[in-house]
Amino acid sequence: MTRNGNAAYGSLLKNYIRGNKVITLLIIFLPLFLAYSAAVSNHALLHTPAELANYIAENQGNALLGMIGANTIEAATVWRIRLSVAVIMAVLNIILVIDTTRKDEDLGKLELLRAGAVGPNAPLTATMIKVYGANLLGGVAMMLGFMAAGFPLTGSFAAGMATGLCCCAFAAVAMLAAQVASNARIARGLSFGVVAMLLFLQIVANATGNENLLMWTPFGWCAYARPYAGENWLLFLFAVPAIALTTIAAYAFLGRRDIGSGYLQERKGSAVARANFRSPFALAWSQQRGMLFIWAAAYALMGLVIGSLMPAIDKMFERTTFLPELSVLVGGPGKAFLTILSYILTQVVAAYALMAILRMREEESLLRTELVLSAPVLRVNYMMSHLCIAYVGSAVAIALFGVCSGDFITSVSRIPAVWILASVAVLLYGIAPRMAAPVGWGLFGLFLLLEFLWEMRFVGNSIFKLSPFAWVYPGAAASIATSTVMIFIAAVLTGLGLLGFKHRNVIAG
Amino acid sequence: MSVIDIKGLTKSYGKTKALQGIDLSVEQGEIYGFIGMNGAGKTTTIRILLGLLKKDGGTIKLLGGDPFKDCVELHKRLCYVPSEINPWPHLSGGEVIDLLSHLRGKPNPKRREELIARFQFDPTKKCRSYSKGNRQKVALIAALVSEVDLYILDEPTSGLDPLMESVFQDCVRELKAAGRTVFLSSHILAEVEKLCDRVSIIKDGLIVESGSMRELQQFSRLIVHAECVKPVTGLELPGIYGLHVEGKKASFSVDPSALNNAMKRLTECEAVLLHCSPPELEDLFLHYYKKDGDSQ
Repeated sequence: MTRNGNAAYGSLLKNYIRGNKVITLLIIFLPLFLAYSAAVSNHALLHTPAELANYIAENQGNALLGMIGANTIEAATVWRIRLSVAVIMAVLNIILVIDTTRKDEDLGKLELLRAGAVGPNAPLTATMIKVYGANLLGGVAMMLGFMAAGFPLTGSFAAGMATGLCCCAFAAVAMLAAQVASNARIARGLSFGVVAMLLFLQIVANATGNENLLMWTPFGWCAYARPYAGENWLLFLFAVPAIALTTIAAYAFLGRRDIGSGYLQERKGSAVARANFRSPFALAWSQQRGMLFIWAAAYALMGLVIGSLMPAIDKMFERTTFLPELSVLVGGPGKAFLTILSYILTQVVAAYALMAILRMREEESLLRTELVLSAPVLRVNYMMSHLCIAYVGSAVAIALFGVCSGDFITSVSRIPAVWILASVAVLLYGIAPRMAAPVGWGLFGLFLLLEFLWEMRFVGNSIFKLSPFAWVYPGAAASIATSTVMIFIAAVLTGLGLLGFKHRNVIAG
Repeated sequence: MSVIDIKGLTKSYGKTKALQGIDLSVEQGEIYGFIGMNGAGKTTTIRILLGLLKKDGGTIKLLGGDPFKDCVELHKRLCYVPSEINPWPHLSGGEVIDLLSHLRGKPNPKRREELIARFQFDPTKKCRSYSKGNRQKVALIAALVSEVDLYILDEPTSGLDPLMESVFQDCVRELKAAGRTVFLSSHILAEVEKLCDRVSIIKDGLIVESGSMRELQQFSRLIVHAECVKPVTGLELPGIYGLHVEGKKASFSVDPSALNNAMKRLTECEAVLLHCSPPELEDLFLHYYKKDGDSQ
């Protein structure tokens, strides 16, 4: 008898290629679009050497984005978009990989497949081929995007491949997380945790100017490869084995566990519930507190690290002209850096709020909402339990970062922007539950894209103002009036969502 | 007073008509069987009863109230066991039982212990490690532990082994003895036959037959198996269906009006063995689910 762990992976692959079309197409074509548009816009904006030199002087040494590798328009362009592309791609990869691996397993689809003549490793192998293939195509697309704007081949190749490999690295992390965690939600949490950690490492590497540290985080790979600035091919000697090792680890964990299980060992539970475990809120809290604690702790920790690094950061920026306009507004380049960082972390918290709210949709499709509502429980109370946790939880995470980093007032003033995005998801859940997740996440992505296009000067202020984040953008200090209006909008949308849920059908599946 | 009173109930999902005018009436203190194939509309009817779905048309009264508007008040007086349950994976079975029953009021802890023992259930395991049958026990115990007027059970024994099925049947009989009403949706016909006072058969969103078990049996054909001394011939008579002759043996189903003629023919062939029985629920069920003109 032959033992082929990958039996039938080919037929699975055919199936998987057709699955998750939107994300797959984004992974392949978004890099091309971003590379080409950034290159063209920089050509238009920086067409004299003086403008270019000025632009580079202003931005050189940005702690978030790192060094501009050379005094050329190519280096400045790739510098501007490399991190944005990597972050967007990392998120897309994680969602795609966990949907096709752990989520299918949670839903029992994998069990059905494995009962057929399908090798135990085949689903993972098919996923890997699809996702790595898509990422490398995305890398090639990015290269073509730069070349279409007239950038040289070698540098475009280095930028595209470094980005493609960075994406593969996050796909590998997600594949590993899918095997270690015991369900899709935990796997996604683990993966996003790794993203946050590596993003943070990238910032530390840039803030301390330690170029070797960049190699240890995929977010730094494109910078480390030095496209258009004397390419450093050493990266590939490191990146390819790193991805391979992570992939091998995923297979190793897969081979050692049973289907449906994970490595986070199950403890025995209590035979009876605590006396106060008898309300929808108690249930929601027991489900959501784990994720909330992790987010709150991560934000407090990042706040402490940044807070303690502030003197060093101030000193580092002392003689630079980092973001001159913003520095004037907030009182020094070090402060400007902190403002931008806390702004980005505010946007990331919006992802937490969305996840916490969409948890209700997951509950509903798993028929658990039905179980709770068949008891004498008011629908509004049920929904409010989850909403309280999402709204208060996101505010607490931001406030903790503010307290620990010493940027409390500005941090807290941004909370209403998060609430607006959250309240849109609440409204959707209340009136069109099946759309809540795709439209909620889509809108979040759209706001980030709007900001990117606004920064590239593709869209004007008035369009950027459609995003709630525009109203709390660094430098645009949120006034009491703006905050009040934003809170009012969020409250109205939340109220409409509650009303919608009160009167709609509870949907199974 | 009717515990459940449904007239002309309709419900569509987009273009699919799930319910096309259901009439149903369940009296206080009875065990009412609601049978039909998957997709016939059983669960949709139950979800409307629970106020989870809104009806499109018709009238529906549950314990004298409106199931959608008065759901919180009504749910204090009823318990529900779903056909499919995915209890919260991070909670233990005992915690889920307590949560669901406490939402309804104060259950009797003795009753809880008794049910856990009867169903041989381990309440300390986390729900994600329970098998299908054990997950079903969580829902069953959580419902049976509360003392309410009405129990709505949607295929409650799916996944239970035969031993547990009989424990379940005992529990349902005890509910009836205590004067409670049970609405039992099922496609396990033997179970319905054993437990229910009255039955409705639902097909494609319509009630095709309803009545007490005896009423249902009266209107339908008898099942006959016979063995004679001579080879059996000449049974091709009106009112006889599904005739199967094998030399001296014959089996068929027969309309009550044609039974006499059939017996005459069998005595002419010198019958030595005759087995004649009313149809079981399964025969009835198949009768309604076979296309018109199909003989059985």
